[in-house]
Amino acid sequence: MEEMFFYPGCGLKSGAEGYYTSIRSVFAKLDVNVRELPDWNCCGAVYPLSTDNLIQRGAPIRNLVKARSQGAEVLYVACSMCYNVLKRAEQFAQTRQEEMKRVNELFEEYDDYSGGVEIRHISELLLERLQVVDILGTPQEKKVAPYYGCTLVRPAEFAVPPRILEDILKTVGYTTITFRNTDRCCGAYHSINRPDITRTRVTEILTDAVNEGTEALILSCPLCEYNLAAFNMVDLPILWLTQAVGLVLGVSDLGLEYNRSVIEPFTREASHHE
Amino acid sequence: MNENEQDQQMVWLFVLDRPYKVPAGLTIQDAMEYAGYKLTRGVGCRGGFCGACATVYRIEGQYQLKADLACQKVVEDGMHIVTIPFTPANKKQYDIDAPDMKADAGILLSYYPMVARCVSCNRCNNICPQELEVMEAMNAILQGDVERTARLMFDCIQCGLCSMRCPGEIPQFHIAQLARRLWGKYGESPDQMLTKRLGEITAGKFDEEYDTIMGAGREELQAMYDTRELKLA
Amino acid sequence: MAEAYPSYMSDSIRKVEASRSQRLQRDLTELKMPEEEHDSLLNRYHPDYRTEQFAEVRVGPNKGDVMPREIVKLLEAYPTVRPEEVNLDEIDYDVEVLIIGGGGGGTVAALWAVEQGIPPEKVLIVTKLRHGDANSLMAQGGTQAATAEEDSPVQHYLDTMGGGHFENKPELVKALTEEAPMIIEWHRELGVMYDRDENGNMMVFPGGGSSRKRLHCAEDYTGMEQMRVIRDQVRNLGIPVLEFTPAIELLTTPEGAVGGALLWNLDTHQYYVVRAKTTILSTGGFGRLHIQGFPTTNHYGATADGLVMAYRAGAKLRDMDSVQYHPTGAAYPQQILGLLITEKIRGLGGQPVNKEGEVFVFPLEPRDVEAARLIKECEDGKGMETPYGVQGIWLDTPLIDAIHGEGAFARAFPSIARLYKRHDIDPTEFPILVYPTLHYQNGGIEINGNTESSTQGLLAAGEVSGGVHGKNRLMGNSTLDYNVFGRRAGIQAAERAQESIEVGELTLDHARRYTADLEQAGIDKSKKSPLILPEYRGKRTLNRLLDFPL
Repeated sequence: MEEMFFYPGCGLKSGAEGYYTSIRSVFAKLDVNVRELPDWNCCGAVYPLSTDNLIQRGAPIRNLVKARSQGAEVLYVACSMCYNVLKRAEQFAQTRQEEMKRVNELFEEYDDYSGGVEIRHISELLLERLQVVDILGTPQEKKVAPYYGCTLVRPAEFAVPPRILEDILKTVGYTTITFRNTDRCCGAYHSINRPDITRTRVTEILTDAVNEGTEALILSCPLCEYNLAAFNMVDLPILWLTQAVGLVLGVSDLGLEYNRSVIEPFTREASHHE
Repeated sequence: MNENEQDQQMVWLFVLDRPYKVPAGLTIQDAMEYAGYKLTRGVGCRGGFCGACATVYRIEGQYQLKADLACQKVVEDGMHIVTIPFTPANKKQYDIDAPDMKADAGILLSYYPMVARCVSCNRCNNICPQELEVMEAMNAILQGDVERTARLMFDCIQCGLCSMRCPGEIPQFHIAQLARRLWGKYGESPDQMLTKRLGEITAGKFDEEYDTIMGAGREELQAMYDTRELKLA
Repeated sequence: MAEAYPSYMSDSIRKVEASRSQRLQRDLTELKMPEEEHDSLLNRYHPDYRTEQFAEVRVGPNKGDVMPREIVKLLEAYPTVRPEEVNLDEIDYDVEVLIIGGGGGGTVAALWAVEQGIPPEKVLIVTKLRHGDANSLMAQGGTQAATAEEDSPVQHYLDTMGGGHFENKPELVKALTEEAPMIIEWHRELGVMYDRDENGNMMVFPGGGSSRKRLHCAEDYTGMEQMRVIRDQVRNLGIPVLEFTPAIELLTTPEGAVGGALLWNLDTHQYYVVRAKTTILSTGGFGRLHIQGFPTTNHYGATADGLVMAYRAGAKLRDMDSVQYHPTGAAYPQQILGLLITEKIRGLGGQPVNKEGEVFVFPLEPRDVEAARLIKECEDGKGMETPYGVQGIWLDTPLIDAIHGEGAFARAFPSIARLYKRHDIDPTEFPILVYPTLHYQNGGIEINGNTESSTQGLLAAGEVSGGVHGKNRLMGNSTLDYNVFGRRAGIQAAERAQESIEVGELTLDHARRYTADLEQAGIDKSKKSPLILPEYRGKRTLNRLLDFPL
């Protein structure tokens, strides 16, 4: 059995449990053991995105150091935001020697870190495994649209391979829709003090998806899910990437009970396959 | 204690920067008393349980500020100290019996929302005199794991130094108290044997036996005691 | 790690290691001392029987009784405060119930007083240090309650009476043992995290002198866990607590009932007058008097203040000739001399071993027997000498992991592991040195089932009270004591609150009368009490003290 070191992030533990449940069970079906990084801490979310305060680097870099101490050469991440934060932190550690000197000194409790843990999104491993394993991907009529949001694709140098989510969904037999607003920002933390902005954005995104014939929206980010579910006026079923894949593979434990949108009858219909 | 300083190895202790020569091998607390302090603050159980004597110190020649308990830490030569007898971090008031209370991280977040400000900087872990994983305990809340918070912070003596060092102004030791109570009350279930025994007592199952034994004379009691069976396996 | 012990001890340590596997197999109940031999052992070796260390008290309700010299010294002493120094007509705090002592007993009393209807603001807890600075917080091994199938509260009663040499008051022991399971359940409802097994049931352990496993514990921080929770509850209810404000004298009505107390602010030195319908004394023990020069497990403030104040107000004491020495106080290194090493270690299989590597006593005798036996072993020359003159017996702690698996010691005794780690000793690798240490006041202010003392208006609960434990307390019964009787005191106070009791004039008449008695007995005027805090300042300082009015 192959093993993947996995960083869940706070969202997958609280609010997006269905994502974590389906990741475990789907990768297990694909013969990959999901090994949670011991003692991981919060990636810090937006804090590390500010450039001028080194203490904010502590949170993501500490996770990389923990991964290193476990002997992990690759650390897989599912939440798009955590993926973005950790990947940028790894690049920071590799390239910003002067600042890393200060970071390392500030957090002197570990040996100096200068990079060495590759951050990958689970979609990359998922596609690889799906292509290797003999899957009965019966072409379905079900039309799904992946929503990339911001942090999976911006900045470009940290983006996942283009159209990777469509590739995964196609491989297991879905018909995929690439709609115009697939990588439009959902409004992010504006939902706290300017929910009107988030409402407008989310409505545009979901309406666009529905107009293109989408039957279910497929996500990879608990933060996006929070906003989309909050303003899901069109009652579009919203599923996690691994839940969508798992339905077709016949995996039973997908944590569907945690989903906040109405997912029936889509899930029932999608799981029917020859 | 040997008062003859020539026979003893002496070390320098700086109390609020005032230098005192004290015999080597004394705890900070004992050394302060040797120097003449009658302690009324920053002293409690003297055994490592109460958190009254958390002391921040720096060794001459070093720059790091460290912390340990004055009742346990042995004076090092050139030690500069201050005892922090109290931390005024805000403890929220709550009713543990309120209907919406449960062993849920959401409860902790509602009373102490500042937990979300944790930037995992590790300053709390660094300063904790009990060497607890305070940061991991706060992260456990963000990960929805109340039990983990309670267990990681179980040995907390509530000195409060963690909250003093926290850039996010998180009162970790107060949050942990609520986490432990929530877990103890709502996370664990009632004990079956205990419930059964309580029922028996209320129903008066032992009333007659009590009457008999309380009426027994000393010799009778002695005989019962001497011949009682030990069931300790 | 081996450097933690002086090299001259290595021979002995090796002997302990060599005998370990054989001792592991042995059934130690064969070492149990027949009950009829207890008395002669105690007579020869227990500190309570060194008659030259005791004296007859010459004044007060227990005049003629024999008590430790250190106690007599405090009882035969003049009130520090002179009546003309204070104006008792100006009342600073007017409450239903004044609770003197912020440990377990006082805290439980406050909670139950409020539970039974007294508004929180009508309760006042006063304490000389902080709320929770008490022996209660330092308890390690557990609280007894007869919950197991093969156990019963009556069995608990029998064990307690036997341990106390049948001098305990039956109605108090009944209350203690019958209400124990209820206390554990109350704690659980408050959120106390008692240790559970893998099935979620509370674990119970054996304690010295107990015939069943009935100790409920929270690692070896049981006292701390309980105290934290009940203290938190007091804070949530908004019950007022005055810290750093010891009571220095009780106040009595012209009829002789207690009607409140005189408090003293440790920082500002001002006094406060409290009037209260009911006064509860929960001032704990007297370990910091270092009876017979013993080190102690007790907290800094354990100086018998409550005894002194109550005695002056006419409260009768009992069993003051009986002092509990915990068999296993730390004996090395010197920095931790006397600190508590919980009996739970012996409950889980730890064995006292002499310097030749021999186990010489059943590890779970009642405390007085166990302590006397360790003292005998040292007097017979089989103890391990420390560099500073104190002797010790090995407590073979590596047995814990040997019996229960690797990591068992760290899980069950994190506070002790931490204590020794600070001094570079790993108790899972090396045995630790122990010797009896001054631990508990077996007797105290005599109370009835309602915690009433012989003085009107004065209740007592917890270690300061007498009659519950007879001549010797069993492990796990003291945290139980403060809960059962703290609760009863709180309930009694609430009942008295319903009655129309008028506290009239507050006086120090009782102190005046006591002063007259002292003068008549020819007691030296320089002797003053209560002590409040022990004197540990260096001699150099004490010789050069100057009282300067700032």
